[in-house]
Amino acid sequence: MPTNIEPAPVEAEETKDIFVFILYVAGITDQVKKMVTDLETLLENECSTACKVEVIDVITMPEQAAQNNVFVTPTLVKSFPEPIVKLIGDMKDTGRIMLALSINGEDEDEKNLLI
Amino acid sequence: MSNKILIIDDDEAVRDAFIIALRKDYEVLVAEDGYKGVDTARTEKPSLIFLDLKMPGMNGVEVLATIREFNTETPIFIVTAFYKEFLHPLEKVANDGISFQLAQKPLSGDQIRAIVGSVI
Repeated sequence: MPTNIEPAPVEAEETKDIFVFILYVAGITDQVKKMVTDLETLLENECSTACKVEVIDVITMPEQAAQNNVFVTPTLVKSFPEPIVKLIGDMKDTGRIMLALSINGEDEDEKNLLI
Repeated sequence: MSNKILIIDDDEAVRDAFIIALRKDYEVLVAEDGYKGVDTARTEKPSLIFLDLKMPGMNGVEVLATIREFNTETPIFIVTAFYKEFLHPLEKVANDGISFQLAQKPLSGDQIRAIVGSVI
């Protein structure tokens, strides 16, 4: 009887079908909490693929921002799948977020787009 | 919304870099210290403020708190290096609910214009 159990192929496929966003902010204020809630609601309503949003407070974790070439808050980074897309400014312009979602990941020259 | 942008920085080279990046499309106001920066923010009502963190006299944290006493709306970008020791004084400010954003020093002309374009 085999003792090592390989992950089911279905699970691996599900892992690929996800958008990962990182939101870089200055402090976890009420304004930021609302921004995250609005963003999650938008993604839930508009994105057919599963989306995950991580929040990084640049005040307490500045090295994370520096490592990822984030030079201003707020910045939303679509970190997976490639191409990496960065949006700066508040997240009220839902059109820009949807544009980030719609950019095709097959074009390697489009990495690190700044919208 | 006006197209006035206020730069508060004691370093003339930094002020000049902002002027060069923005003067074509915006009215750039400059203040070489925190006191003048607060006065200009009060009288000129800029649409956006870039604020140096480390200045002699009134530092950036004090300027931010003072401006927020009479203006809670205008976006203020604290321009500083992204190092914990520089950012630590801002933790209490953020915990007090005072709103601001961060911009990493030094900023290129393109980065300055990108930030302004995201606000105005």
